[in-house]
Amino acid sequence: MKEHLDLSRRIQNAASSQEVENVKALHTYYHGRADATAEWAQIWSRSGDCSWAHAFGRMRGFDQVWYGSVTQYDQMAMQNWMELVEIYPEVGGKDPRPIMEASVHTLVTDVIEVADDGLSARASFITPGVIHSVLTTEQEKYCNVLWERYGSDFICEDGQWKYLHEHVCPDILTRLDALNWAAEDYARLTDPDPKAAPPPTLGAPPVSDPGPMHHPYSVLSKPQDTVPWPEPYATMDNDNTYTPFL
Amino acid sequence: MEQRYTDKELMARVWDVENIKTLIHKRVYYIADDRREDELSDLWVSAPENMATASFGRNWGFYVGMDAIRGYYVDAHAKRLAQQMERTGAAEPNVGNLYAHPASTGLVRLAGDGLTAKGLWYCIAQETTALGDGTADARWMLERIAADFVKESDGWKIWHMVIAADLNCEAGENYSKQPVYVDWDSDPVKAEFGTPTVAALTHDPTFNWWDGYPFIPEPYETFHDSISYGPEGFVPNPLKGLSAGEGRGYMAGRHAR
Repeated sequence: MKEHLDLSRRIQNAASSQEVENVKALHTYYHGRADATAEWAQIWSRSGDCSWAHAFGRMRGFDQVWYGSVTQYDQMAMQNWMELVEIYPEVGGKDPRPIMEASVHTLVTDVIEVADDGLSARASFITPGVIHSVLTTEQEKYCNVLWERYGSDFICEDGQWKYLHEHVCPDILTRLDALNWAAEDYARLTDPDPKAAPPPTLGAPPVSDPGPMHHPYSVLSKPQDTVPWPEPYATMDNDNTYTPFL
Repeated sequence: MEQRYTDKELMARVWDVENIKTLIHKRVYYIADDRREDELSDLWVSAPENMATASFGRNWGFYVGMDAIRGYYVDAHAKRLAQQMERTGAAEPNVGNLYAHPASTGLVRLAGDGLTAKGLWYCIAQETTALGDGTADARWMLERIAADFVKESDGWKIWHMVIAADLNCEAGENYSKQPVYVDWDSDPVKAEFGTPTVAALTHDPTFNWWDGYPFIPEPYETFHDSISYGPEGFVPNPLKGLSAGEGRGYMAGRHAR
């Protein structure tokens, strides 16, 4: 109940918790339009301590995060558009980024803790999300389901809540209601001609901390608690963060 | 940074946001129980000036005013349920039906003046409709919910709502096998929507979220029409999308599907 804090701080922290929820939701809606520029320009701290991690590893510092999350992501969207326009000329004149796909990481089951000092917040979410697109180079629309867990750290800069750390832990990625992730993994593992597991995300940008930092579901693996929910804490430090500080 | 609100004011704002979240979550249960009349009576605006401007939008336009909303949302639905009972022989409505539209990813913006609020949610929904041959049509429905809320004398109420569908496909079927372009004429949700007060293609999922509607709510001080989720706040994209051709007709015949 945080009764060691005065009432004013507890009220401030309750409001901060709602602000953090909104920042996280903004991520979902910006990403749904593949608008990486808005996401990283508006809701991220530009601190050298910021980080973004996925199964492939962790990017550290705003420069590297921007390069991997905005520059390379936009490059994929542009390349997709260049191929797509040959098949569907009506994409001409339209922003290539949302044309690529709607990657909608819906958010449920949030656990949010705001630090006693009110300067940071930590949160855990599950995303039973979907990724869908209509105009594709394969000339088939698709809808994938992508289930992940998030460990997210936030800081308050000049009264605005910003992302500081994100750790994305993908568990399953498969076609909506058409395929079975466990059967797919079993078939892959028992195939006489063994194949590597498919990548759980588009691309693998340069990282400072190499992965793997989380393993997608396998019939051979146990559940992983890679980003445990945050406990109540006083201030952000190496015992209370999803990215250890260097 | 200078604090704008007193502790008491800030606590009231936190409480308002929680009440708005509860309101939209309650709506999910009203839908699940198919209590549409109760939803309109309990959750939507009841002050006369707000009832006149209330709106319910989907991809194809808006019903404006609570009478028009009720005509579409309650009366036409009841008529369809009666027709369904004739086909299935059921003794009561909704036998074999299911409506699940859980709301996730809430983004709530309370106005600086505290009198209105805006919100955006996403639903990975499913609906099942019993058919006359003993089977049922079970569907996945992905959609955004955008809503304006206004504080009336008895609490927060839904004022404007837009439900923008992204896709609609039969459960157990591979969505990728559907024709690439949506055939609106055979879309069951469009058929159900009927003829709205204001017709407009507000969201064409052919280009995913390119059209930007419903838009993400920004922080705001006081409500005005240009930020409304009612028809007055809908501004068609100057690049109109598929309805304007924009190259598709010129290249006709080159499409594989």
